[in-house]
Amino acid sequence: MKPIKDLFIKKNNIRHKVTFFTTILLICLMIGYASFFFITLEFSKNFNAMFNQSIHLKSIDNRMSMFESDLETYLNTKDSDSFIAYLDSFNELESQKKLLNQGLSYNDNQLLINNISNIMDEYLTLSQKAIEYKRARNTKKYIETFNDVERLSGYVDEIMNQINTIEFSENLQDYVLLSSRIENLKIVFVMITVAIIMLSIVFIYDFTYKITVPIKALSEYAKEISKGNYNIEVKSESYYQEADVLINTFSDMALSIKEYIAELKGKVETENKLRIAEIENLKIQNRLKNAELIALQSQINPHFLFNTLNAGVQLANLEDADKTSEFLINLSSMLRYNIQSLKNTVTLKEELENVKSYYHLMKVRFDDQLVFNFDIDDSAGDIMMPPLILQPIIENSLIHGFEDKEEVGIINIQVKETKKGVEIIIKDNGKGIEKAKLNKLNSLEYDIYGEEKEHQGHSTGLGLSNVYQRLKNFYNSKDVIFIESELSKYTEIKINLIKNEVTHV
Amino acid sequence: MNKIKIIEGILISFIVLLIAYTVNETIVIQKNISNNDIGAHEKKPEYHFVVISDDVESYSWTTFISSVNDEAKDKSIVIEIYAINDLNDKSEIEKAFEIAILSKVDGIMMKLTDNDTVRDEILKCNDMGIKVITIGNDSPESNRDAYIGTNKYNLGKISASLLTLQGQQKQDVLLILGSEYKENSGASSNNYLNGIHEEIVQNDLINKLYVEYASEKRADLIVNDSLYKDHIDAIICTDPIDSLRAVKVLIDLNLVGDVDLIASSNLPEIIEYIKKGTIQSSVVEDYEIMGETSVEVLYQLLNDKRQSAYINIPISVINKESLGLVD
Repeated sequence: MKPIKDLFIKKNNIRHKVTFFTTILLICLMIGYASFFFITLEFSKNFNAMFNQSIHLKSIDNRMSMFESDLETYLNTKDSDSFIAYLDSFNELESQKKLLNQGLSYNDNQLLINNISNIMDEYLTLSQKAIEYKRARNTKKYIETFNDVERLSGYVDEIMNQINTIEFSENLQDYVLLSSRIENLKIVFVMITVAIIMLSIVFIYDFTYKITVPIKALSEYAKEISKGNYNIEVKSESYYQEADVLINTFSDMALSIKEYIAELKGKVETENKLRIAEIENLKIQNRLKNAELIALQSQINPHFLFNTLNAGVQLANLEDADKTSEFLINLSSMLRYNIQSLKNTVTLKEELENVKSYYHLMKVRFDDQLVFNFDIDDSAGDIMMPPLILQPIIENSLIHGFEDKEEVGIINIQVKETKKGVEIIIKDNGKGIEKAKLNKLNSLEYDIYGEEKEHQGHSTGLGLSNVYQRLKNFYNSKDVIFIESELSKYTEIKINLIKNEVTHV
Repeated sequence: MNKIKIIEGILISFIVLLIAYTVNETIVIQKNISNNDIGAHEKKPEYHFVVISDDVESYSWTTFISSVNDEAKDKSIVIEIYAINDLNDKSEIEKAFEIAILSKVDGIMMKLTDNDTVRDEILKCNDMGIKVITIGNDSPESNRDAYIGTNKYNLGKISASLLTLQGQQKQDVLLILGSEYKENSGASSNNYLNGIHEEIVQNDLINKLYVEYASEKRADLIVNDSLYKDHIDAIICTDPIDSLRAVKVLIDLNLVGDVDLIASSNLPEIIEYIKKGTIQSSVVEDYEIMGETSVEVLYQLLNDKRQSAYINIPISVINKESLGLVD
């Protein structure tokens, strides 16, 4: 619960303002009504007291008359009924006397009532004495005493009249004095009511104005936002906290929308970039497909080709043509290796076997003009790798390195284990690569279209770019190929096969 | 919006003022109403005194009873007043005393001219153990417990002596005795007149003395008639109201300065007339002290404390000299 004082002290809050105003209104009306109620109540109490007192005194007066009548009858006739009636009245008056005796008072009427009580005391005593004188047959005395009783009764009557006169005059005085004040109060109360009505009108006007102004402003801001203008400056005219909250929330909302749209634009840009990357990826895959297509083209009727080659081998054996037989076996072996899917995984040993078959075939073609030197670490033969990696590289040396070269072409193939895996170095003594081109190749910028033409001489139809992409995807590493070259001297290609980090893509 | 706030502020201030007025009026009305019921709420009085007086209209009475009421309230005493309209009506005096006795009052302050009936009633009160004191008019032959008042003989002498100061020739003087003095009855009147006569004899300056009673005729009529009928050099009034009425006549008849006036009391109007020279001097009986002393003496008597049987209230004179207007 919040402290009550907050209800009244906190400003610019609709709930507090309405509560405060209603409370003030109710208090004003309550004070007005309470005043009237109180005055009316006091007046009625006063008049009731006056009338009750008059009625009471009148009843005592009547009883005293009856009492004197009964006493007189008894004194004259000694009638027992009158005596009984006298006794009843005596007891009644005795009790009334006690009731009237409230002691001394500063109030005039109360003092007179007290006097009545004291006189009644003597009055009743004298009545008893009169009876005693009657019984003693002292006629003169009982008549004198009865006269005294009547005289005292007269005193009581006089005092009662005095009381009524005083009471009436006091109340009349009060009435005259207070009625003018009450008339004034009536006018004041009408003025309070009119002032409260005016205050209510002013309050309602002010209240509705302060509520509608921010709402109107917000609707204008909303229109601006609907037009796409998010750069609006929301002015906070501080009327009520609730309106402030609404304006601030609206302002925050506008800001959030602005930020969200900016974020959305960023996302769209990122998605576009991703789409471009995806398209690039698709292009790469397309190239792979093309490579596979080329490979498949070379698989046209492979059974026929292999059967024919086997027939050739058998014919060579029958004619004792051993070299021919060996040639055909190598050819058959290389073709079988080449037509396998590029998605296959082979061991380095299998890849080297294929290179050897290729060498034997090329040896028949180039004889002593071509020499392959193998320096193989046998323990590295089991490492897994994609197929047809080494043959395209060696073919590149034959096609580009030894082109227009009259010297013996030597290709050194070195395989050695490293910490990370296996390093394959293929080094030729060809014409080398121009520095600019070499840098481009080491920057992995393979000229794909340029390569397409150069693939024409390849048995596999695969270029360096294809080799690189497959190795990169296979090992999930970019550091798979590095080329060194010196123009007219050599070209050395290092291939890194990575152990235990094989990732098939 | 500032205009709205100003209007709101004005209206709220206006309502607050009206509410404050309403609350104040309600309190005033409530007080007025509850004043009638004062006896029901206040502490009850310890004693009940009755003042029986044949003079309940004069200035001296008003001053006296006001002082009595103030003193009584301080001492927790309630005062009841029984007015005697006709001193010659024996039954009226008897009835007043009888009601007082039957009402079991504790004390009676009697401001009545002395006569046999009064003395008899005082005796009855003595029998009932009710203390009685006489005020202003003594009843020396009764069994009253004490007398509080001025010495009327001295008062008469002082008044006459003031006359003698006015001039060297014998004067014709009109004496108007106030309502507390009754013709042919009471020691007060006699004492006062004796005092005057004593002074006249001693100084032999008064030619004629006309004595009139204000209880029988209004003072202004007396003055007017006397001035037309007789030659008057000076007027002596024993009542302040009579004095003021006499002044009015002198002013109307343009006789200020020709007729000297010896007034009574220290009323501001009388002092003002003394300053102007319209009234030559005024003899002051202090009725306020008389009222206080009366209550105090009766109260002490009820508490069994001995009190002097004759308590004199001093008399003073106001004139230009006493006011410091003469070098």
